[in-house]
Amino acid sequence: MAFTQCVLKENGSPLELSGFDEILENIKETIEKTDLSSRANIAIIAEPFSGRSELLYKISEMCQDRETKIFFNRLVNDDNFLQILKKSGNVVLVDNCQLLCSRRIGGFEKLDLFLNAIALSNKLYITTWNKFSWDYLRFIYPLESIFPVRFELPRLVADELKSMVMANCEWKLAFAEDATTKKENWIESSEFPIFLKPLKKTIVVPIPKIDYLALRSRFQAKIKSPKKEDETTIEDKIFQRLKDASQGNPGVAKSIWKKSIPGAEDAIRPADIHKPEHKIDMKYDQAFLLYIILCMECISIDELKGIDPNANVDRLVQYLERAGLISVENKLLSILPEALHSIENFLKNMRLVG
Amino acid sequence: MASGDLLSGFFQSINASTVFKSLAALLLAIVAIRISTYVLTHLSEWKVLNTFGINRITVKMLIPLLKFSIYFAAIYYILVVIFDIGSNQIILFSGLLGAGLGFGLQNLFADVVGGILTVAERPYQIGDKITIGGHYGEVKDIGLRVTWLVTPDDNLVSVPNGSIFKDPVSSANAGNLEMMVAIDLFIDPSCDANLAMNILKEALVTSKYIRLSEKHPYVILIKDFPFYKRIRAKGYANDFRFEFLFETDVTRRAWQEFKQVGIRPPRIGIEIAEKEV
Repeated sequence: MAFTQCVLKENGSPLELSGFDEILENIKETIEKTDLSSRANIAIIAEPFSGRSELLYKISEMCQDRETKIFFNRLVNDDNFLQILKKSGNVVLVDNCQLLCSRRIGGFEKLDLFLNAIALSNKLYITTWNKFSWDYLRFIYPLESIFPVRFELPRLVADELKSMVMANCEWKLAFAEDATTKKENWIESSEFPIFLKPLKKTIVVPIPKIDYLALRSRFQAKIKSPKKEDETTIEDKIFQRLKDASQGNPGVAKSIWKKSIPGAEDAIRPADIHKPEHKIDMKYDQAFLLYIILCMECISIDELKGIDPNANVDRLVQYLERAGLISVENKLLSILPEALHSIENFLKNMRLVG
Repeated sequence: MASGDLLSGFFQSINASTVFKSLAALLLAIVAIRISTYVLTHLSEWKVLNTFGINRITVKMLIPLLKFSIYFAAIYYILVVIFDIGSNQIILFSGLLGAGLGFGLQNLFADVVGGILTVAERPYQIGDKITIGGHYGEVKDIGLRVTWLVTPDDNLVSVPNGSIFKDPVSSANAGNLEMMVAIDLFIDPSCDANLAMNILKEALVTSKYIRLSEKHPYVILIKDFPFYKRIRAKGYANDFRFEFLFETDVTRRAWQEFKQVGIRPPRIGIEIAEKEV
């Protein structure tokens, strides 16, 4: 059993992230190259919880010698934002630009003004965007020409997730093998109901269901890791499993990790890391509103009602909250990190996400 | 061998056993077709297929192919295996078929050939939205003789497969789920056309039913007429089943906004309506 020292920075300074060194280096290079004649605005595009804001914070630290201004959600919520932008420094960092627009008639006014201001300005803009919003907005605005330098945040590998978890955990953790050495089943039988119209009967057909997480954890270590089976430590196994469950998204990994820790006294085992699975069943109209929440990351109930006045938003919110897909705080809706990939897969099935 | 001998040989092979076997083979073929159609139709509606880039039309495309293969296998089995028909008898039957065509079976024959060509050349597939023989609707099934369409008013229309030889066929989606929809709004010529175009653009791109991608762009057009201006929005519905919902959604929201900013419908339309009242 291995003991490791962790420090959890709960609600304190920003999440310690690793794995973005290359991007930071590239951004630094772009900023250094920039002068008034050759500025190339930057867009950082990533899915929710992938550490966009943390990265922007690091960039602001990097640009301390320049006259820099960083705007998190404050800018996009301020009606006077054009004046604020004019007064800001030479390097302007704007987080969550997707919040500048709303998917309704007249909802693009702010984004229009913002993009015009960028076009007329000599300042360097470093912006972050929700990946799903970007994928929609780029067909409406020439975002690629306004932000010629674009970075998509990479998914973290197991070692990077390990460093992140270790750097953000504050009690002593023990790692242990699973209680039973029996290998996990990667194939299970599940039931699929079929309604037979002529007989007016529903029959249940058993179909095989593959547990990809178990299958991966069984084979991936052998294929990808240069370490041999006996060299793979229990920690490696646990973090590989965490990586598979979170698909390398740091925010999702953090959430899964927190839910997996059985208690400060107990040791954590590979079987404690569960891949979150959510069964989502809703109609296209409701799925569209879920897509809007995913795109905006944080949206008020009233704004959602404004986007689809015919929808019963209150009932939908109740369903989504009960299904463990979103959180509601002060009438603000946001996706729960552990539900992110279930939602993404569902919206892919509904053809709302490309 | 004389043709009389060939025919008598064939008729001699008809007995209770061969008839029973033939009926059983036909029944089996029909059951196999029903089951495969049912399974493929249900499979095609599985949303999870979209994740793998397979849409329901790709799956439904297999239905007529399978159906025709089973029909031909059954016919081959009945003629060659059960009745033991040789090449001479087939030639004789071809002659009889030719005579039959002369006596008025040519329509049936044209429909069957049309069905085979539809499966082979695929001018349309099951799931497509097509216009054929003056009918518009979603192709529900392609049979040996007819193609079944479901119109927007939920009428089931059977169009003989032979129509593909006579009438042009237009497919609105050509095997894809996305479908271009053109939405026309008519405004009074004195109104601000730029503002109207902008509103229509926003109504279009914010619709929940739109599909936006490199392959699926949108466009807003304007055309001047003597008594009105036509503003046309062209965009792709995410699924052709949303065609009318998409049109309604964009039109309704655009007019709501037009009303708020003072964009009016053409005066000539109002005058006609007033006269009618």
